Amino acid sequence: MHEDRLLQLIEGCQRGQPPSEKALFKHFAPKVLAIARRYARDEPQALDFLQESFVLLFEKIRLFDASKGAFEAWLYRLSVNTILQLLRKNRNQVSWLELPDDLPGIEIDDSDLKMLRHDQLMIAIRQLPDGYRQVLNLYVFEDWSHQEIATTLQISESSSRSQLSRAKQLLKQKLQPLLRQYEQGLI
Amino acid sequence: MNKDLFEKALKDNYPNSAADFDLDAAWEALEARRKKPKHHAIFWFFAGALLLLGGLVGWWLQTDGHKSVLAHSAGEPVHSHEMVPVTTEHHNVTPLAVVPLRSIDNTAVAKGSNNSNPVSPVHSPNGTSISVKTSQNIPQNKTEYRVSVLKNEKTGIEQRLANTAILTSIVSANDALTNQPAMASETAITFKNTADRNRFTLLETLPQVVPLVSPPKTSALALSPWSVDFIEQKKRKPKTPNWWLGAQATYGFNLLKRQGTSTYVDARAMDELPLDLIQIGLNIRRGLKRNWFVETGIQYAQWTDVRRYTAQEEHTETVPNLLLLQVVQVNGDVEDFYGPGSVIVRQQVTSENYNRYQYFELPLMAGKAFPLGTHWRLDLSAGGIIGLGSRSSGTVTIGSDDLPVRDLPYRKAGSLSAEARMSMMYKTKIGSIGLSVSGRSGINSQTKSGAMFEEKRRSLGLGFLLQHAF
Repeated sequence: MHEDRLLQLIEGCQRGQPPSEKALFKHFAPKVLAIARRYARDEPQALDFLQESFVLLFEKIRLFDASKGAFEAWLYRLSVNTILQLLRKNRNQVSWLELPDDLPGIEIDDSDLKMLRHDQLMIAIRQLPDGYRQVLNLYVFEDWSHQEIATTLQISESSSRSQLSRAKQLLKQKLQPLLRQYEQGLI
Repeated sequence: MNKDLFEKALKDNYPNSAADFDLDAAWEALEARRKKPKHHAIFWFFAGALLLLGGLVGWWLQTDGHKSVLAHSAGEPVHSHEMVPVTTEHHNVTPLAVVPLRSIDNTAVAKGSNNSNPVSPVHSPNGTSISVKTSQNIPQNKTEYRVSVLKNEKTGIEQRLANTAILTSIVSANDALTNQPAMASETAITFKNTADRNRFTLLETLPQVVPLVSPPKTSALALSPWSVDFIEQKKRKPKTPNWWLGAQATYGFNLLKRQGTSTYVDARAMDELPLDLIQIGLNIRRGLKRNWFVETGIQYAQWTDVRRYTAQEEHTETVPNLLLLQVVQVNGDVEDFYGPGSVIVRQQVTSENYNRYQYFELPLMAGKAFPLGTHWRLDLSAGGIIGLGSRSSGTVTIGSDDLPVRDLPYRKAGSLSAEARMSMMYKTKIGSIGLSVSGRSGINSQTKSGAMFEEKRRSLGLGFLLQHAF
């Protein structure tokens, strides 16, 4: 979307004009949903995250100042924070899986992942326990430090590191069978 | 942070956009969730104004302009020329000397901001370095830092910092903060001047006082993972609305000025008396800078004159027992002879007639609003009014004839007036309500050039206004 058009839409949303809000939603909803799907355990939860993010966006869009940064980055951060708030509200439901320390090491690289479909990758991440999934998302996709993750999720920094490591191992374990099938030409 | 190959591969290969979902359905679900207020109040507000307008217009259009009232005088009976055979009747008969009067009695208005930035570590006197979070208010031009959150007694949400963590309080320019040292026991920190006097409990941390350190300025706004439910954002000044929709109803005096052929003008002045002006309309206003505004709309205006005139009516009636003849006998006796006869009755009838001149008008106004406190506002405006379609009802006397006003060929269909208005408005939850004083004056004559006279009207009126901002 052209920047001028985006600014027009933002101004329209700041004035509460429904056509501008709809256009903005249609443009950015796919990206926000992609983020939401990484954090959600299922599709209904992902859609819930999507809606909450936009509800907050339309409430807070008057605070956005184009001179201070890009809108997409602002929206992205707002979405992540919204999702984390929602997850925090349900933190009693967050599951942590204690894995043995002696998990076999599996190596998966870029070329391997390229073989997988997007939905397969998404499903694999979704199958992770909630806590692992959150740490993985925040570290890998949001580029947070373990310190920030620890503060947000109310765990220790060392716990954040170990959870990330285990999340990656578990994810590799889930992906490996799929990758073997691709290598063998079964799918 | 250095990521390993798997992490990089994961980030690179995960889709950053979802393509396989129904955008329209998602939008509808979002709208339902946002539960936008349907502005029912506004709907009824303007529905009521339209009903009022339509009802008044319909009522006035339906009303008959002609009204005759009772006023009369007796007519002299006139002897008929017709003779009947004389009969002698000696009984007393009251002579018919007075014609019964005819009475025609026709009686002729975030959650607070999710903003925080990681800052560089704060150093306590004993050398332990810890990181704390501060928050940066996004929309302010100056950077305003708020207190990091530990525990909110209101919501009960608790943030356990690491063992060596400590809270540093950073005071914004407008808040007076009682800064308590981090001692061994829990300490309450109270904000003096914040809108929401949330209490914060400083958990037990280091036993020493840590000096305040201003966090470094951060680059672009970066929202933190923190939920800042704990701190209420300062309330932003409400944005001045740009558009208003309004309804108005004005009632005023009707001041008529006619100039022209003196005999005609004087004759009409004797008969006609300007009565009132009723003005009802809907308007839309656009706010400009510095409380200036422009306004237009559509309104209905009705000028009413009352015409009182007296007419003489004459008619013949047949009466059965009319004194036809009196015969004086030789002996001096008077003999009366009665019989049927006709009399002519003359009556004077005074009538009232309302002449109405109705216009649909387009006002074009400009003005300035002067806020008086939180709820009151004084609006001063002036401009022009263009009269579009017109309609007239009633009658005027020209010569010896009464002609309907609508048939008069010299009346113009349109009009042009100037108006000035002063309104005092009071802001409520659903809109503003107010009273106005307005004066208007016709710029051009309501009669065509070449007519026997010019006619201009002025009015001074009181009005009632409703407005809604959006």
